Amino acid sequence: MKSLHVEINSLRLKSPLMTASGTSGHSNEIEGLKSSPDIISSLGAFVTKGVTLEPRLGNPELRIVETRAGIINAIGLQNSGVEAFVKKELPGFLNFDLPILVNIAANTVEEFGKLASYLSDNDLSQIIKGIEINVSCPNVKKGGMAFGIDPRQVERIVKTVKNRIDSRMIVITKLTPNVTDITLPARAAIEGGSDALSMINTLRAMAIDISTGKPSLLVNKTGGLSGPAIKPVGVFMVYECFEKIPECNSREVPIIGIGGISAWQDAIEYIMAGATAVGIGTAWFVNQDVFSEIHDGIKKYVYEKNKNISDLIGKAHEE
Amino acid sequence: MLSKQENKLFNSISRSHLYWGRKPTSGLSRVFEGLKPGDIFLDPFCGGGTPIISALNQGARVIASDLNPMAVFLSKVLIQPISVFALKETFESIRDDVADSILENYTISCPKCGKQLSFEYLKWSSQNGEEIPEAIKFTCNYCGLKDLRQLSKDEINRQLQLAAIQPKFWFPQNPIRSQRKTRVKFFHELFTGRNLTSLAQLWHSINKISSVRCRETLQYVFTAMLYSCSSMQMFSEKWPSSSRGWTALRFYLPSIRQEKNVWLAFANRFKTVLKAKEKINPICKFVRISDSMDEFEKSDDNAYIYEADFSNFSFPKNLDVNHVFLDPPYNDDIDYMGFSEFWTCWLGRASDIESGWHPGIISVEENSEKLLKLLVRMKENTTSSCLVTLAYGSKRTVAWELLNETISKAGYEIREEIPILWDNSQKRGKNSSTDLYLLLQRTSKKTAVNDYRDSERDLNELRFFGRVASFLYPDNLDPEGIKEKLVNLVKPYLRKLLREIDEDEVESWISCKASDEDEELLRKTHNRKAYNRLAFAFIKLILAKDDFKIVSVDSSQFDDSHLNGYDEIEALPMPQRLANGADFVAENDKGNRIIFCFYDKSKIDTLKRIATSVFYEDDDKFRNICYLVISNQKEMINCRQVDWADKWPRGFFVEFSKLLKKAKEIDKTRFGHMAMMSPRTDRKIEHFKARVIKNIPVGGNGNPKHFTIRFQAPELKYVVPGQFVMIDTLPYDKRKDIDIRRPVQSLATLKSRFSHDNIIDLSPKSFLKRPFSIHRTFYRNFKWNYLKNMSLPPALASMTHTVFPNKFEIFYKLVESGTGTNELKEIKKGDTFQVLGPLGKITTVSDWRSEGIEEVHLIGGGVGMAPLMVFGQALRYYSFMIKAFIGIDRLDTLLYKAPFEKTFEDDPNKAYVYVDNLRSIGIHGNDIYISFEKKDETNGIDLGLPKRNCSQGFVSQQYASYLDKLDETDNILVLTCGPKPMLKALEKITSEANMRMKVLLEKRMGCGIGVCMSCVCPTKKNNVEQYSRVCMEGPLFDSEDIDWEKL
Repeated sequence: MKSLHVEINSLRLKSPLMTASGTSGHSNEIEGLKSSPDIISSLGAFVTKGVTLEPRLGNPELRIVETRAGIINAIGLQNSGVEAFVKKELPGFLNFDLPILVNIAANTVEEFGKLASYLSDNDLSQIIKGIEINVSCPNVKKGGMAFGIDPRQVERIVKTVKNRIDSRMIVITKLTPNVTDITLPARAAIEGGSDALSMINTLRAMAIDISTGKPSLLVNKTGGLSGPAIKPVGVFMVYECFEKIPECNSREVPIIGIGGISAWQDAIEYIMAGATAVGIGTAWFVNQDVFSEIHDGIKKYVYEKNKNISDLIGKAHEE
Repeated sequence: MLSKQENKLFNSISRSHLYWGRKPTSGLSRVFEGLKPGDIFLDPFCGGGTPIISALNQGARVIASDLNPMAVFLSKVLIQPISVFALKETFESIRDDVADSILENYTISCPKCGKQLSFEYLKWSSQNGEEIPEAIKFTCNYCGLKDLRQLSKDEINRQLQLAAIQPKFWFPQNPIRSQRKTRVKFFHELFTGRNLTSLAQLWHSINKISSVRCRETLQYVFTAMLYSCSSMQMFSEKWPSSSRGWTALRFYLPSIRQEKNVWLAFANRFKTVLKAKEKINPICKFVRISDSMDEFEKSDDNAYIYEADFSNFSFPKNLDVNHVFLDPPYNDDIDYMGFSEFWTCWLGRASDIESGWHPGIISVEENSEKLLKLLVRMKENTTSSCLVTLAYGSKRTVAWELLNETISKAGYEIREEIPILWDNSQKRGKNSSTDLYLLLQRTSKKTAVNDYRDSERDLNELRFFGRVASFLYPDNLDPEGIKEKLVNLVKPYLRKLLREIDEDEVESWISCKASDEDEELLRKTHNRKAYNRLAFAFIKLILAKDDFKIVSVDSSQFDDSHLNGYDEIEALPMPQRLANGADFVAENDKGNRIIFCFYDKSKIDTLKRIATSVFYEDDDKFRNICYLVISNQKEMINCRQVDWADKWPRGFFVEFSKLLKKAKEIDKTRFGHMAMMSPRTDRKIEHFKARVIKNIPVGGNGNPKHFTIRFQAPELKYVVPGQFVMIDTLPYDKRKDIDIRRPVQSLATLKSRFSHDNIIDLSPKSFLKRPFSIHRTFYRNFKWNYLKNMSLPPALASMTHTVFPNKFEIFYKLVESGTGTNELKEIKKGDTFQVLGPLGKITTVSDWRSEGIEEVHLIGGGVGMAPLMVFGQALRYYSFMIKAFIGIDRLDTLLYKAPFEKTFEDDPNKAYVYVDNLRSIGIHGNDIYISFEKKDETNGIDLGLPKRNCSQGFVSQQYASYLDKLDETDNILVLTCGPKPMLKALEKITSEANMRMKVLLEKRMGCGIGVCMSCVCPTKKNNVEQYSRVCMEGPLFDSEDIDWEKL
């Protein structure tokens, strides 16, 4: 029996599949599905939706536009704030036999630091195994430009979080693809002390409703594109980082590949490009059986190739 | 918690650690019935911690203390929420650290295959003052050999050496201070050298764990298995070991004993503790433990546990205690403190051995003194409304007499006595009838009413309920189990009598294990008749509310014993003609008849015959209807399956537990004391494929804008009005074809796969599924217009079920530029499409009556009328009054013209969308109103509605003028769905008239299950603004919760 086990630093995952933040809600939505035991047994880790320090209302509608092979979303990080999250939503994960990774978002470096401190308190490390830093949020102090575009900001944020976080939790930095060279923010995150990288977040995009002559996402105008359409971009960026950054190549800083995965072949593509684990998001809106399908698909593949999944990481780089 | 779940919970807790005298959790939920969320619960003898868990389960905040530091430790670890993943991870790290090294000392070669394995335990025996390792018990994972094998001389020597090794890590060297005489002087002498070594190594590894919670939980596991790894563990031949832990209550080394494999013991115990934590986590998931009483009082933490003596534990300064649970030692001679040291010496917690309450050493009078002091302390420090539960048990009458005296001396009186129901793991030869929970309350000035109790009559009543209980719980047929069920069914004053009755007597009432088959059958029938009678009493009461009277009864089916306060079965004629064979029949003065039959597997043919003859005779008049009375939910689900429909064609079902609940509501004095718990159905969302039965255009007189799809989907059987489904608008086959990953063989193959010439199809395809409300549901043997003549008695209607629906209809409007609906209109009969559902919040329409609603106004704008139809179905079913207001742009949109559709009326050419749907569910033309915006093309359209019901303009205007003429609007609910301007206009109208309104909202959706946060609408509950998900918190919203300004 060949194994689907992968390791992200100190975290041992039983499968390379994870949820992508913002796409799987919390424990009670998944538990409402008949197939929830299958979902949990197919996953290796659970990444929660983004948590901010203070509660956020989110954007007014319209928040979602369908595109040819994907969606553009402008949700606005609606969440009940870290305090309510810890008190009311986190306990729902107690009986999930999965490591929980909490995605954090903020608009200033200090806020990121505060979030990290808050989540490290109260012996929370027994539910939370790691933090995923969302650097795609706009930096309020720099005119709203996303943190993730400026490598110096990325490094600052990661350093701040790493200083305040419980040492037993791993720190993952989720990079935005809306840059010219992904290796720059990637290196910066590693400099800041990031234990792993996840990429990619959504691509900045837009739709115009020709019947009204206005942008479809009325209030925000632009949004993030996700779904099968962006997969080639994600694969490319994983490949780049794995090739050009020595820490990624040596797997000292593993990469989690996210973006447009909807079938097992996509997952293998990402792994061969250099990802240790993969995240699935939009596909699960369309097909609620996607996790078990992908899990079974890669299981069959590794069995036929007679290799462990970890043997395939970065295979596309071999001569 | 339900009784079965309670038992499972308790079993898993008691198996996790062998602390003494844990109170079983079953029965405690009854003791704590009155506990409300936020109440303060005090337990100064917390011991093994189970009462705290029951109290936390009711939402109370607990303050617990115990003299014994071990009890405090155990209780804390028990209620502390902990992640299952983290625990497993921690265990694995310990395993990686020490398992191999420990197991080395327990290795032997398998006598059969020669492979190295580690044994489970070694049997030692004392011979002539010498300890000899005699035999080894093992299981070989390679060849499967399981054996208890005598050791060879060489092996004996080898084992003697191994067992004498000395620990390399710290171990406690405390002396044993127990009051019981014991040969051994120090705790560590209770172990073999090998086991002590392994334990010390394991303990060292556990203490390296950085997470406090994980570490403490593993320390719990360690202490739990400590006894079994000691030399006090007796030897047992059985597989697995049947010894139940600390059987001899002293530090005694038996002459024949086991030396257990420490690692295996730890691993197994970990599994049990993990299971217990999995069960406790859901109850305790929000538990936060305070560090001090102050912190507890200031915060909203829900627990504070500390060490204290019964005479000096403290009460909160600023909070009132609502319930005190007193469980002092009362019966046994256990030296808690002395024995706990066995564990606490590892934990490093000292204790005061001399203190404590030792009922075994002091006299009964001294005991009473202590109890009096305790109760007086309660009285002085709690308010008069605070309840005190005292757990007590004694076989001696003098003890009970003294107790009663003590209680009244302290200023309390016994309100109720509830038996403590020990389960098998804790019985230890207890005579359970002497152990009680006494619910004490402050003595009131009222003089006690001395009812004359006729003991023979009471016994009779008990017997009756005993039979009912044995019928309802055939899997629970032992006297203990029956007694437990009876406590929930009989009046309080009978519970005392129940306690005094011995098991043989109970056995004689219920036994269906009789040796004689005839006798067995007789008893079974006896039980059934008792149940029938009770159900009959409930139904009679419920029917009386709607002026139905019982007109005929087959009295042979009912118990005829004389009971206190329950009707006799009157002398009425037997059910005749159509009802021949039924159990009883009810009628009202309008000539409607209800025929009742009790479900009985052996009577299927009779039931079928009755229902079928009523079906054919009554046709669609619904003047005669059949009800099947079902005793439990499992049976109910079986009978409601679609394929069962032919056995009970077009009949109705009602469940015993719901009847009981309703009867309780109606007549509290007679039935208020009864409780019967009915498990809820687990409704889950499924992702499945549905087969299309038809997809037809409706209305539009040849140029339709609306379509309806009927499909088959047993997965939606629990769907309720207000729920919706997400549908993939491309048929499943076409969706799969889009997958470009399929290897393309040749152009020819490609060409043949697609029926049209344009192989490369670049037109937009839908990506996400689309949401559609359920428009109508269909049931086997119920015609599409079955609701026309149906009129169930309202009180009974809310509990009535039919066979599950198996066909569903959605109704959609074609959006010209929309991808989804254009794809949907191409779906053909026989295609399958992917569906996700049922989605949306569950609303129980039948409960609206208890909110004072008698009439519902359905107001729909355009296609918004469609989802209101399924509400109409449910409302008619539950006998609400309905009026409908339809807003449409042009009247000819409604005119349906297709030759093959019989849905609306007999003459399809004259049928009208919505209007005739409403008529088919029994709404009269006078109650249907229509308003149209454009006047053209109205010639020749005769909806058959009164002229004053049709007007030009907006539906909101029409409704406003209708309301003007109404006086009373208190019992009316407005239910609406449609375009935003209409909803806003109606909101103004209804809020001005102070009327209740509920709105079905529609939003663009992403996932449909609440994770993508796309489908939100602005809401304002309790002045808190937020965006609520239409797919989870809706689609049905109360108008007052919606933030209308932002919408």
